Amino acid sequence: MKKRVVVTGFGAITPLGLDVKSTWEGLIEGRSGINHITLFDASTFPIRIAGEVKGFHLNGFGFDPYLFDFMSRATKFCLAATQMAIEDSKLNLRDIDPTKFGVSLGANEEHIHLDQIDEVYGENRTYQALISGSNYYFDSSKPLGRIWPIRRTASISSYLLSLIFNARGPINTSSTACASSGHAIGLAKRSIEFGEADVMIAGGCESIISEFSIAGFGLLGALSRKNDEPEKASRPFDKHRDGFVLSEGAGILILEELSHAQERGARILGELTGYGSSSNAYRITDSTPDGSGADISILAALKDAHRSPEEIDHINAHGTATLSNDRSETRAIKKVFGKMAHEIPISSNKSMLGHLIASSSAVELIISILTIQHNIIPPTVNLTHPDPECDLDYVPNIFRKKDVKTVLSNSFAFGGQNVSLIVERFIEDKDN
Amino acid sequence: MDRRVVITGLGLISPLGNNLEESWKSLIQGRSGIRKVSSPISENLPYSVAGEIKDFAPERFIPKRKSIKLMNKGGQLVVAAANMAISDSGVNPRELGLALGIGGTQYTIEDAVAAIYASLSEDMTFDHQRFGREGLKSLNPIWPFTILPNMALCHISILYHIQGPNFIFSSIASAGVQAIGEVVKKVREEEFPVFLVGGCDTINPICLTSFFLKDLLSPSSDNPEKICRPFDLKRNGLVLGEGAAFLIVEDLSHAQKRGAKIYTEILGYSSCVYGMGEMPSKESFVRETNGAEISMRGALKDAGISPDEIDYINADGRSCEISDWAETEAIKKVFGDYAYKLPVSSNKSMMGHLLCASGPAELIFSILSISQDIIPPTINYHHPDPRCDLDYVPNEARERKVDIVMSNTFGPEGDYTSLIIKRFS
Repeated sequence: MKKRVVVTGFGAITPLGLDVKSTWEGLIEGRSGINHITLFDASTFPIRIAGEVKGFHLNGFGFDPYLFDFMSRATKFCLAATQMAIEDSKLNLRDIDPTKFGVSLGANEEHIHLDQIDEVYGENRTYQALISGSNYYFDSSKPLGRIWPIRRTASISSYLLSLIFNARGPINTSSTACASSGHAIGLAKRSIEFGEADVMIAGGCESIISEFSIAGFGLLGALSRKNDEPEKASRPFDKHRDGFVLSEGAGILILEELSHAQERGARILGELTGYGSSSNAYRITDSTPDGSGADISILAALKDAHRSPEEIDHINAHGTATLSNDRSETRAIKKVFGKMAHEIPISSNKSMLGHLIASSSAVELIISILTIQHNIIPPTVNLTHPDPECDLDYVPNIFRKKDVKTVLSNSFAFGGQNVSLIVERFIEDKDN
Repeated sequence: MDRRVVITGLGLISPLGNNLEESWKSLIQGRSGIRKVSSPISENLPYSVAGEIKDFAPERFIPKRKSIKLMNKGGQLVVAAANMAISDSGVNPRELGLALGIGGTQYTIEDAVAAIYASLSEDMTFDHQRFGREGLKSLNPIWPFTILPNMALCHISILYHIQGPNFIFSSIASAGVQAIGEVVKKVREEEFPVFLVGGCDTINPICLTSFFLKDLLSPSSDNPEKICRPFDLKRNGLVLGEGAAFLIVEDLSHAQKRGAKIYTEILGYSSCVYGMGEMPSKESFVRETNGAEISMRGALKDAGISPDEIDYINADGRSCEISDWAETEAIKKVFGDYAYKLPVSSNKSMMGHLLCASGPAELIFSILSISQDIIPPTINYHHPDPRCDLDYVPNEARERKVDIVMSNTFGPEGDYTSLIIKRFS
C-alpha cells in the first residue's frame, strides 16, 4: 500500500517577490515580474528583457558566510527558499531521522557571465587563449577560478542542502531542462510513497540570465523580443505572442509522509497525488502539433492519482507563450478532457513570472496549492487577442474565484520530455 | 510479494572497446585503455591523460546526418550504446521506459570562440557591446540543443519512438547507478515493467581541468597505462574516462512472456549520502568508511542474503588513497573474516573512472563475470599497501565460479551506491 504524500511547507524566490506571499499577491493582481535586464549590459542584445529576482541577498538567513563563495546565484536562491520552507513547515530537524530525510532538486549547471571569464579562466590569457582555442584552464590563483569547478555543477545545490540540513536519505538532482523540478518532485513523491523517506526537500532553482543563455535561447527563436514593453512580453495563448521570457528563481516544497506530518501536528497545505512523465518522441526542436506525448503524461498523472479527468478543477498550464507549445498543450488538453476541456479554467503563471526553467514546475506547484487554499485562480495576463487555435478558457487577465479542490500542473521540456503533477485539497478520509 | 527484476540486454562503449565484446576481452586480458588525450587542445592543458573513446563512428547507429549534428559526443555514445542494448534484448522499444544518469551541461568554451573573436575591438580587447550586436551571431544556432543534458534521452525517444515514463539523474558519479536503483524499484512496485537504463559521461577540457583543480587526479605521466593503480601503495589519484553503458531492466514475468534471454537477476540496491567528500580532510576516512559500510549493508539487506553469499565484489576502487582505504575497511567491517577470502577487483584500473557511466559499465562487467565465471583483474598492482590487505585479484584474471556479485559505486561527492546481482535460476 502506497503511503500518502502531503505538502507541509513551501518557500519561493521569484521575479514577483522574495517569498511565497508576495509572489502570490503579485499573481492575483496580475502584475508582471518581467523587466529590463540588469544582470549584465544587454543594451546591444536583440533580447533585453528577463524576469530577474530583485533585491535578494542571502545574509539574514542564518547560513555560514564561508559557504557563500561555493554558491552560484541559483544555489543562494535555493538555500533561502529551503530555509523559508522549513520554517513554514515548523519541522524540528532534530526530531527527524536523517536517513529518512532526503533532497530532490531540479537544477542546471551555472552559466558563466562574460565578465567572470577573466576571473575563472585567468586574466590576460583569456581572450587571446580562447581565440587560439587553447590554454583555457581555470586560474587557480583566483578565488573564483578555484571554486568554479565545484560550484558550477548542477548537483551542488542538492549536496549543500544535504550537508547543511543533515539530510542523509535519498538525494538526487534532475536536469531535464524546463521539466527538471517536476521530475524532482515526482521522484521525491515516490521515495516517500514507498517508505524510503519520511520527509523530502523537493523543488528546484535556476539562474541562467547570462549573455550565453540569452544568446543561445534567442538564436533558437524561443525568446520574446518585445523589449519595449517588458510587462507585456509574455503572452501565452495570445495571437501576438512571440516566445517566452527567461526568468530566475527557486521554489522549494517540504513533502512529508501523511502519518509523519499528523504525528507532529503539522499544518497540511495539500496532498500530492499524481505524477506522470512521458516523451514526445517527435523532434528536439518542437512540440508535437497534435499534442501527443503531453497527453500521455497527463493521463499517467491522473492514473497515479486515481482521478478521472472530470475531477480536475483547474489546470496550471506549462503555457510558455511559444506558438508550438501553446497549440500543442491546448490540443493535448482537448485529447484528454474531450468536451469538458472548454469548461476547465486553465492559466499560465508564466504570463507574469516568465519561464523559471528548472524551477518553474516547483513554483507553479506552489501556486497551484495556493489556488486550492484561497479558491482563487490566478489569471493569464496579456491575453487580449486570443489565438483562434487556442480556444479554451485561459482565465484571461483577471483572477477568478472558484472552488478548486484538484489541480493539474504541466511542465514540458525542450527535447520533448513531459511531466504532469496533480495536487489536491487534503481530506483526511478520502473514501467518504 | 515483490516482483523479480532481471537484466535482459546489454550495450557498452568504453575506453576498452567500442562494443561489449571488445571491452570485455581487454578487461580480462588486463589491457589498459588509458592514453594521452588525442584532442588537439590537450597539449595546453595542465592534465591530459584519460580513457578516451576512439574511432567511434556514429553513422553506424544514427541514420540521419542531421541528427548527428544535433548531438554532442555524449548524445552519440548514448544512442549507440542504447541501440546495442535494445537489439541485444530483442525488446520492442516502444514498450520501454527511459532512465539515464548523465553528467552536466556539456559546453566547452570552444563553442564560443568564434563569437568572442567577432567581439574584439580594434585593440584586441573584448567588447561586451559588440558581443551583443555581432558576436552572438557567430554562435551555432542549435548550440543550446547540443549542450542540454536531457537531450541524449530525447534522442533515444525520437529514434525509437519511445513515449513512456522517463527520468534523469544528473552530474554525480553514482548517477548511473541511482537511475538503475530507481528503475529496480519502479519495476518491483509494478509501476512500469521494462526500462532502458544506463549512464554516460564524456571528457572535455573543462571536465579534465575541473577534476585537476579538485586535486583528485593522478598526475600526468609518460606511461599512461600504468598510472591508475587502485589499492596499490603507489596509487595517487583517479584517472578519468568516458563511455556509455545501457541495460534493459525488466520484470521477470514480462521477460518470460516474450521469451527473452535473461542475463542475471537484480537482488538488491542501496544508496546513501554521507556528507560532501570533495574536499579531502582528516575526517574523510571515517566518513567514507561509514558511507561505504551503510551502502553495502543496505544492499545485502535489500537482497535478503548474508555477506558470505557474495562471491565477488566489483569494487569502486577509484585509486585515491583515502577512498581505497575506506572501501577496504568497510568491506572488512561488513564481511568480517570472510573479507579475506573474497575476491575484490577494480575495473577502473583499466578503463579509468567513467563518472556517470562507471556504475552501469561495471555492472555489465559483473554480469559477464557471472555468465563466464571469470573475475577481471586489478592491474598495476605491484606494491601492496598494508592498509589494503584483501585479495584484489592482482594483474591477472581469475577463473572461478561466480554466482552473486556486489558492485560498488561511490562518488567523490559523498554519494554511495551498491548493487547485488545473481545468476538467474
